[in-house]
Amino acid sequence: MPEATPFQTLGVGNGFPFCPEKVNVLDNVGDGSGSEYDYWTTLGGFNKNSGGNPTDAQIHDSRVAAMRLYWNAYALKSVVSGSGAPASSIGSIDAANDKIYGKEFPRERVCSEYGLGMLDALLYDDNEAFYEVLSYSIMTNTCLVRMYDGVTTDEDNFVGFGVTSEALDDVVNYGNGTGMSAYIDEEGGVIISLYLCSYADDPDPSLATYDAVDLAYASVNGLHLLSTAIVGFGNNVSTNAANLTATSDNGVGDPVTLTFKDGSGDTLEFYTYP
Amino acid sequence: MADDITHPKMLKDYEPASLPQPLEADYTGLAQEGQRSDDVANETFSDRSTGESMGNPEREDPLEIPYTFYFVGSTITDPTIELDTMLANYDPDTQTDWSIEFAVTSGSFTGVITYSTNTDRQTWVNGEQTFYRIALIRDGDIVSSGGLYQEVTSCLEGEPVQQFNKVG
Repeated sequence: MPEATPFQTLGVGNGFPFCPEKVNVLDNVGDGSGSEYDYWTTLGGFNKNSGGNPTDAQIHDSRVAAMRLYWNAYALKSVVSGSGAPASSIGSIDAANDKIYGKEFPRERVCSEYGLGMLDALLYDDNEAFYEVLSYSIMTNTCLVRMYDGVTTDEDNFVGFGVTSEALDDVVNYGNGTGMSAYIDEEGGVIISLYLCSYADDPDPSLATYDAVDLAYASVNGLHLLSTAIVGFGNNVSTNAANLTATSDNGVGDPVTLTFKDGSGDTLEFYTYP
Repeated sequence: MADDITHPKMLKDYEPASLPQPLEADYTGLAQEGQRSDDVANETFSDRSTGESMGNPEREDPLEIPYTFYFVGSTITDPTIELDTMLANYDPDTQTDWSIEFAVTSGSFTGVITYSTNTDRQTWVNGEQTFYRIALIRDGDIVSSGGLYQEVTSCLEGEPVQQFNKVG
């Protein structure tokens, strides 16, 4: 585990150097005319199926997770595998090499380059290192948000912290959204998309072609997220959102599996302190 | 969360003259005409509270300004506490440190206030903050002053911490 220099900061009075945007999970349009998202969860695990109101402890858990994600995130990991496709050696982005947030170390994140505290890093490989893989990317451009189950002007509706999320149709069509994603484009137009976010609707089949879609609430290194696994234009498709993995072949070569974690089962790696 | 502030230890046998006089040096230069500097130095803690002996009847000793704590939670009454009250159970003959401590549960102040000789700024149990403390006495000296304190959430190595910041 990478070790960081101990630090303490006030931020803007909330422990962050920014004020997270607010999202009403009952309004998927965002202008008051929408309906509740099909899926939503706070980073602390209070989700659409929980019912009632979150406890102070559940809200606190989401704050702890949000702080951990913003201040201490070090790396985001994935693996591509399959016969004929060598194990990826480029399957992670990290703060040291890719400057998550544009800052390597937690204490440097006191000066957020992005007003909303965006984790911003992209690893993109199109050198056809894998047998059938045209391109492979792993990306985060994640901003923290405060989630409400009602109007965001009433703090009694606050249910906890989450991360920004993109419409799944856009994720599939364009590869990456606001959130954390791993994405493969295979020969023959096959796409495999794994995406981690906090709220989403089921994808609209009229907007894109999906062979398999799976969504699940998942605990990812202690952070509760909505995991989505989507495959389009593939063959022999399988998806397992809860396990953060999806497989497909392009009808010609061997199947390729994308997994949004490394061999140790870690999707995220965090700094520790002496 | 508790609805009321509790003060388990109240002012009873507090003897102001028995307290250390940490600001003696600061006041010697303020002696009035005809008044010896050591007279000023010998003033008791309560004598100084009015400021009259320093020629400024409007002046209030900062140590004598009560502490007011503004909690974020709307269900907690913001308490104003005199230093005398805080030091009610402090025994300078046997104790060198004294803190006011605020209980924390699930990342929020509960409103329960106690006092102890514990000098740790926070207490953590199983990764959860359970207390935040403001130093009142360290090594026998008064080390904080009254005024307005605002609850904030800060970040300690990526973990949220509830604390008070002095704002006035």
